[in-house]
Amino acid sequence: MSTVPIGRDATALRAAIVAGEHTVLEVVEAYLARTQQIDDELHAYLVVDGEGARRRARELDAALAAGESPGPLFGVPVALKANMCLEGMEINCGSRVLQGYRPPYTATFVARLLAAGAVPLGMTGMDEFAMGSSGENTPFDTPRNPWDLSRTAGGSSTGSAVAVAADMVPIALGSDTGGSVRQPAAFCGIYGMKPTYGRVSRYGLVAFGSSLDQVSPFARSVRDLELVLSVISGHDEADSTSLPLPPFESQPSREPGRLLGVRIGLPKEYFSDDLDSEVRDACNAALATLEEAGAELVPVELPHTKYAIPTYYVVATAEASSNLARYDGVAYGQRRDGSGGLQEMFAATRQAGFGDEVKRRILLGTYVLSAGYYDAWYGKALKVRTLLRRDFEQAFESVDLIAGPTTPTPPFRVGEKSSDALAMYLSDILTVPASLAGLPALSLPAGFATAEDGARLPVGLQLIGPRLAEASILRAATALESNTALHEHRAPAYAVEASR
Amino acid sequence: MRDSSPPSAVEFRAGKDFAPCPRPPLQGDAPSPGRRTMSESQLDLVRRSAELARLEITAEEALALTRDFEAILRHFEVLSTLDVDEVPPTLGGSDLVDVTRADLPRASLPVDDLLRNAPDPQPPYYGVPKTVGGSE
Repeated sequence: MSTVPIGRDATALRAAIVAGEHTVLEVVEAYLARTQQIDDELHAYLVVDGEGARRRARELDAALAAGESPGPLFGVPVALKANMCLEGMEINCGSRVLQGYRPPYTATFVARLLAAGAVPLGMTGMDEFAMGSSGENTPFDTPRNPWDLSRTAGGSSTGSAVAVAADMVPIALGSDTGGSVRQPAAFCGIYGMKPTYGRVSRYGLVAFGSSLDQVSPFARSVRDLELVLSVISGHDEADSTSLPLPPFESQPSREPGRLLGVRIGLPKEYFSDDLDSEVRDACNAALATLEEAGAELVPVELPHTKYAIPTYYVVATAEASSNLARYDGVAYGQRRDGSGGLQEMFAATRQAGFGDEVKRRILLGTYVLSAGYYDAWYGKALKVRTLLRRDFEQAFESVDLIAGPTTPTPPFRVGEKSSDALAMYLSDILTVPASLAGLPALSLPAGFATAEDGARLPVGLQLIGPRLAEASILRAATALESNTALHEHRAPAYAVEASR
Repeated sequence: MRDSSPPSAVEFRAGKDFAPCPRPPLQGDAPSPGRRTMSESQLDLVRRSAELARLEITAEEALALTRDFEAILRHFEVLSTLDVDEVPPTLGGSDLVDVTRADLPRASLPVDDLLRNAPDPQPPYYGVPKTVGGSE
């Protein structure tokens, strides 16, 4: 047995365990030690379950010794966003109202991770109920960007992104409603992929916007993304929106560095004058690499893009106002008694339990659904959502994929937008269109911008595909990965030696 | 649970006596001389939404939320410039419809497990403040 090197991807780590280079317990101890060493600064985790992880590691080691066949994620430490149910493990969704909640059941996608041999290390920090783009909307610690601790790591799956970016785990899960995995992946210089809506069961994911939420993996390599997606996807009868399809199967490319014959559409709306120039440059450089690999870059139009933010924030807040009605102090979470009656208890519990952004969105959602306003706002947004879907359908008649920046700017500073709700919403402009259309989309490391103090800040390129075209997106990502070393860069302060 | 900020002097819970709020202005609307100012109508709107959402908000919060609503809804008014009369709505994230399963009895989670997270478990019930017959 030897010292476990930190920084391998999940595929390599599993192979090393199965080859007998390390026990699962050694691996888990190494990642727990790494977490203990650096998470006081980064605050990726809300809960670390070291005892549970060690217990599970011993069970896995015993199973392997007994001759059991190791699963595809055998012995791999994973981090879960704190809105994912694992029986008995505290999740609070980044909210006071759910503090202390321990789910009595396990989510389907978590059960599938466990069946594949993964070892959950803990639950990660997030914007309250996944409402935010910076991890700041929470009464708990805001996870920090390993590339610059004064900057946000994005959100709302902030802690999961930080945990992967700082090598506290090789893979993690987040949930993406309007960009909550792609945007933090871009800000942290890692991969984050939202699958097609319905690919992954939502059973056991605490609901925010039910027609938008998708469980989505973070990883350090394209092959790990494929691996996780193949484990967690597939039909689940417990979720009526789960697509009746078998699990995703990866399709290894014979020539991973080549992309011959692939047409990539570049929407002019995604490269507007408002785009940060360094983000533009980094994305253009990545696109040039894809072009050199054989892809054809084609201008396309998505003319309704400017309606995406209002449409998203009407639809998502409407759904949220309904989904969050359950937090009333009766069945779980915290309770405030108010002035005596049941209604007073509901109102007092929700007043004390929810933070400002959650209240804002519940009120906005309640308003757009209320009598007299429904047609003008919610009804209208549902129709504009159709126009946004049609934009993509039309574009995909002439191209295989669509590419653009994941975010309009590099990571912004903690506190920079937290007092301006609208400014925060507008930062989601490049990720919400694919969410509204239910399309698969991946953010991958594209390069770097330079901060005023000279620090390098990651930039993400987003690849969007037609429904169920995850394989095409991953193939293009493999081409970029094969021709650059962008995915291997680490934040200098948390660098480890990347190795496969 | 941590205490929220102390209630301001004029704490209110949205009452029952609000006048109906005007719908959001749409393109082509003539200015209405009788319409209340934006802030007044938006403040009513925030209060009414709070009542519907069972949210107790302080007067201070209501004012802050009103300012946010004004900025957000002003930005969102761009939706009213689109003619979508002939466009069907998109109701979900995929095209699945009418997903059903056999209507058969099956085991559910044990009641004890479900009550474990309740603030006031009274097996086999959830305890809540008395709702009929006055307070105890």
